[in-house]
Amino acid sequence: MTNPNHNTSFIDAWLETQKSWLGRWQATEMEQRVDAMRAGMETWRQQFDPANPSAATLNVAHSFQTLLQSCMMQAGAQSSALGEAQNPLAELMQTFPLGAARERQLEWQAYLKALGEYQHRATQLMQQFVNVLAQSLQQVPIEVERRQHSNNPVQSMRELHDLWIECGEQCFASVAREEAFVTAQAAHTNALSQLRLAERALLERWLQQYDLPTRSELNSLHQKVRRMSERIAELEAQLGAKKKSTRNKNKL
Amino acid sequence: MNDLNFNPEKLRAEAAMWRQQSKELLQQLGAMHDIDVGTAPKEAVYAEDKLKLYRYRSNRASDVSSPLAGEGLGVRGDAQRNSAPNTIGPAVLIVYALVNRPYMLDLQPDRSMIRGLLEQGLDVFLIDWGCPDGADRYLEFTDYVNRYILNCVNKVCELRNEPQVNLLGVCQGGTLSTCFTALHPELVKNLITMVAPIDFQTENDLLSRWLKNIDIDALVAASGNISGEFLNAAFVNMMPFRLQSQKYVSLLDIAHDHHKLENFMRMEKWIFDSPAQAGAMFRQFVQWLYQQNRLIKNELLLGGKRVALKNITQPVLNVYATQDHLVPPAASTCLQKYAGSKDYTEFAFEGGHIGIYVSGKAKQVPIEIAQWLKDRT
Repeated sequence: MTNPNHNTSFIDAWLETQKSWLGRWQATEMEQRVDAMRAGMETWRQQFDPANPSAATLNVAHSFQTLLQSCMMQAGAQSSALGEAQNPLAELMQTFPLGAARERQLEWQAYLKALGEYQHRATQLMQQFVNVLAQSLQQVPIEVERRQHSNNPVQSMRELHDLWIECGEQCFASVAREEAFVTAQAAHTNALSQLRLAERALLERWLQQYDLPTRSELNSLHQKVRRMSERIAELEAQLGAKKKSTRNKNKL
Repeated sequence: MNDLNFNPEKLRAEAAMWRQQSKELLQQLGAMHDIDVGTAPKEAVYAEDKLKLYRYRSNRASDVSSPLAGEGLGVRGDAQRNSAPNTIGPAVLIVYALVNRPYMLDLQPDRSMIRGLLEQGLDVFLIDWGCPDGADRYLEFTDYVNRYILNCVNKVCELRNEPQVNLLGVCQGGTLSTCFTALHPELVKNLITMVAPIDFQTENDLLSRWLKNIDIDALVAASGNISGEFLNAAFVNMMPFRLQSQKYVSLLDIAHDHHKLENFMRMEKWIFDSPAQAGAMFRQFVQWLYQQNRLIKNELLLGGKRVALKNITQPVLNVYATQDHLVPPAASTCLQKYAGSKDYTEFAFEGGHIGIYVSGKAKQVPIEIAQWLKDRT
């Protein structure tokens, strides 16, 4: 007979690892998540019945699914909350620009608008990945059962993990080609570009105030050097052709 | 009913094994120094901006007519005193991709396409594009094809005292080589392309699908050059489960094997040691090829001249990988349809985009290339 305390210590050790990984999250949220995981693991442990191995395998698969889905739901909730959060600078964004600081205000408004758009697009893309994870987890118990019926049952956690990877790649390969994913990913990249451009406009303004060189100035110089190099190459080619022509004339 | 043998005892044993393997893995990785890559002896024979043209040295006495000690811009790698370029066998100029570093072709002594070509008696040259920095952001498509490759071809012709070269373009370098051959056919004796995209909008091309709605002008305006990290993120995301999770979990299986760990780390280094892409070149390459597919539409202009694939009348060897997830076979094999060559050969490698250089079966690739070249020299 198995000593359940052994399982508990393994689960505790595993949870400790998860806890440290979650350390960057806010303390209250972290506790809630760890509690959710602990509950999931406990369910898993309780469902484990060596007397009925086939049920045990399916239970493990379902518990694995439940555990990860609970994490994902929280991740999804978090990303959704991020998108819906009230922008604390909304007032500034809506204020009509007048007076001496008008141009600065416009730059800040452009930056805040780009930031909001980026956050929105990031949330949408994250949702796509959450969907892929959800689909992959729905596929795991189906695959476990299929293997069981084909006399090739899952024999270890490692096999279960590899099976999940396989399911995940299959789901992703399908989703990644769908228009919704392609659009979300492109919109995310494009929003990031606009955000960086808006950030750079602000940075360049500050640099100019301190008479420090900006990227725009450097780009201008690079283009000037490039045009000069091209012109020199053209002149060298013309000179070479002229010398060759002169040599040929002298030979004649 | 099969015995599942999946119970708490088994689980505990598995966890204990993982713990032991993890401990061993961390010890091995902690003791590992930076690994060597690209160790085949070579010397730089030409340099321009960040670019270096290397000529590899062979240890085969039968290939060497006269040692070239002291010539060139310096010898690199595990150069041996008696090594020298193969001056007797046919020369091949390898044009590597701008994405990633070219030492993939010489990752380690027993997984080296370059050493394989040298063993077949070829005189091997390779263009290492170097790492563009902020000052290179305005380098354009035409600079790479009509200036850098052209200058390297001229240098190889000069060193070999021959009027033409054999070009071997790898991946994106295959596209560049194809463009070069179409624009300067008189300088190319034979063209070899390897996992090279020609049609950028084939059905299974995931990268193409992802790129179609990206605002490349804004991306380049915001980033200048496109960082290697950005591109790596895109490549890794093409198979996120395998490349971000399973790959590292699988490390536990080789925790005890120092040699295999070193092999893994070499590949890991190559994957993430990625140069930035010159902004203007990146913009043109993506817009003109991935988004507009100009090459096969006969609409690509470089340096004011049309890149007409029908101008490629010299023999062509097209090497592609049947399970390539980056450059689907159809993206490469369409070259037969568009090129003007009547001597067109395909070699289908059973594997993926990376396996073609480093897998066990990859040893056959340089043999096939060398034989094809020797038949036409």
